Amino acid sequence: MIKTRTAPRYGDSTGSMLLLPALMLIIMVKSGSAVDYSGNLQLRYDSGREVNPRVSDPFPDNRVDRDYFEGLFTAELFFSKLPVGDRLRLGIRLLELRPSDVDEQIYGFGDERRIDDRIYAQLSLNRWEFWLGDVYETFGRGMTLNLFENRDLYFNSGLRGGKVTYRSGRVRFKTIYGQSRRWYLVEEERLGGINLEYKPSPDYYFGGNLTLQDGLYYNRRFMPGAYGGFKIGPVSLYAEYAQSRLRDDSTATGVRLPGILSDGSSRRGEGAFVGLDVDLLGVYTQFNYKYYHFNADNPFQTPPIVQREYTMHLMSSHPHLPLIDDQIGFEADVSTLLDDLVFLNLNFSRASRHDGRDLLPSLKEDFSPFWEAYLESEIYAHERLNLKLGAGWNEEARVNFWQEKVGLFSEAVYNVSDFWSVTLSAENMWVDDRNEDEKWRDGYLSATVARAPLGSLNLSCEVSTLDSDVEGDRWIGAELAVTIKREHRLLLFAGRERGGLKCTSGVCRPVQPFEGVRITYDGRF
Amino acid sequence: MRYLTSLLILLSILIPSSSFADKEAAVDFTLEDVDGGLFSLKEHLGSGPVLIDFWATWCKPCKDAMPYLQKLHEKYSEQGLTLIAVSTDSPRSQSKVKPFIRSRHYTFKVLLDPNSEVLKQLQGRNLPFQVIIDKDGRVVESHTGYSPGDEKILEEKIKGMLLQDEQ
Repeated sequence: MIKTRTAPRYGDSTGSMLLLPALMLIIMVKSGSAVDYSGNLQLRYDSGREVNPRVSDPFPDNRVDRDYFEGLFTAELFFSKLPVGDRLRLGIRLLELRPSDVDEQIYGFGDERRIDDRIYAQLSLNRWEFWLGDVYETFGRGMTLNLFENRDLYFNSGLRGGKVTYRSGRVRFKTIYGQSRRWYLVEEERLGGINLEYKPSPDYYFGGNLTLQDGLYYNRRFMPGAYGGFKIGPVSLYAEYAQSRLRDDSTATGVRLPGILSDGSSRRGEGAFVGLDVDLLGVYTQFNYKYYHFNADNPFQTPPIVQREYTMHLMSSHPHLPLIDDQIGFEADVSTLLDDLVFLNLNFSRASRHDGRDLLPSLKEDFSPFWEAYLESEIYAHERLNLKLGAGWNEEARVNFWQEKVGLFSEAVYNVSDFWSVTLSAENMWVDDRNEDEKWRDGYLSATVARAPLGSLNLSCEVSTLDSDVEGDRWIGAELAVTIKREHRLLLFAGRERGGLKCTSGVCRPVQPFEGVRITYDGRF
Repeated sequence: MRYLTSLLILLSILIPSSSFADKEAAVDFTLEDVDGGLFSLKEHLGSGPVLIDFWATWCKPCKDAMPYLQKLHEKYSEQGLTLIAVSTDSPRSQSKVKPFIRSRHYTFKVLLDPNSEVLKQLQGRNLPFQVIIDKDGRVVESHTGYSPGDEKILEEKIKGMLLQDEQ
């Protein structure tokens, strides 16, 4: 069945955002204000220039003015001693966003100015919780449902609806229903889900999930899943399996999405994750394995990654992207603390697209192979001196992309006195671009002087022997952080910062190189 | 508008004016710990202050603060301090939490807040974020970021609260 809907607005706002504060005020007046509250205010302003990826002129002529503002206000009221229920929490969040020209083009903000609102009510009643308004939830490790917000990445997959949870020592139950709102990577979709977990003993448990998704692009997706785990002595294991079944592949325009339904079997995607931990003789070893073949990306699913999320500044600025539609891989991670003086961590991971029915990642170039090894050590050399040393290597091939990177990093933190400290970091990374037949070296230096709890001053310098047509070859910046009465923090950045792919919480977005001034305030009351 | 109307009706039923006569603990939450058990804040109030540290495995300053938190835990837990480290790692990196804690031999309680719900409830936005709650469940102090020496400020605050509780 073909559905037609008007294009939703970005973070569409409703007039309701003014009603809840009015309601809160009435309640407070009526109650004599014997209610607790908390709040947060965040303001950010960027003024300068950033690279516009749609301009083909080489750097520095590809830059445009950046004028960005955002204000985020959150307030909550807490009520207790209710005739029904233990505690009621009411919250409201208002966001005003004035995106830059580049943000408008890349993330499709559309209008010059946006206002977004969130409201929620949470009633706790013994082991039950009832939510109404904007809700978030995760089933298992997120293979069938993971709803979350990441403000830094303009990502919000939360639903406007309701959820109910029940938690006891043995039984955990969650159910959720609602509609997402259009945001970066997220479309307007209806979702409903249920999760039940049973834990007969502290050492083993199992559970099942079901999510139904009905949206503009991923019409009528049906996602069942099951998981379980146990612990025997020093060994613990977690395993999860999920399916993603497309029930109706029509889109708003009636066009079948290319790549999603290339053959009959791709109607049903599936994924599995297994994690094995062994904590023995002071050495913690973890082995993770993934088999993701969901056939399509879905912003409401973010299964576990099987690689180190952060290695060092330079290597992590262009990270490997886990692909849930088609990827297989494993990771081995070993950590140990030697005599409370030296901590060692070794991580090795490998991944690729599926090569037929192989259960191990392929090394063939056609299947986007990636592998990485990383060694990190922390040395508590002296009461006042901590050192960190690390080395990493990775290699990745994709369509029109083949790079090998080797990196070294070091950091020293010296506590000059009880409240003064100096931190120095240095990194080097050698890149061999086999696709472009180019080699270059990136370097990074950072120095921070901090006076707790008042604030810190950081100077950083990043250089590259590759004079990029897109972003140039040097980035120098300074950041001053000032803390006022512990609850208020002001950050002032001036200089140039390098763009790159920014990935956290399962979402990635390109951050454009920026130069100018950024002022950020974060305060709580 | 429909859910707002529902909310309004729900509130009018649940909240008579008399329910505000006494102030009760404002902060409460229940989260799972890394071993799958449940942790409810209200069950740990009353014996002394609670220090909550929000962190994530990808957050470098968060990890820098951990050895000092362990020292605070060792020094003051018997006197009544409850120290909780709440990981906000999303499900995709949640499996890294336990290796990090166990391999460094940290003994404080570690909870999981994969959707950052409790972080938001306590008005935290960036990591690391630390909150001190008194024995009555009220937020006494909160702080974003970590620089060496911040733990001394925390220690002074906790010592003062423990002393006050004794009196």
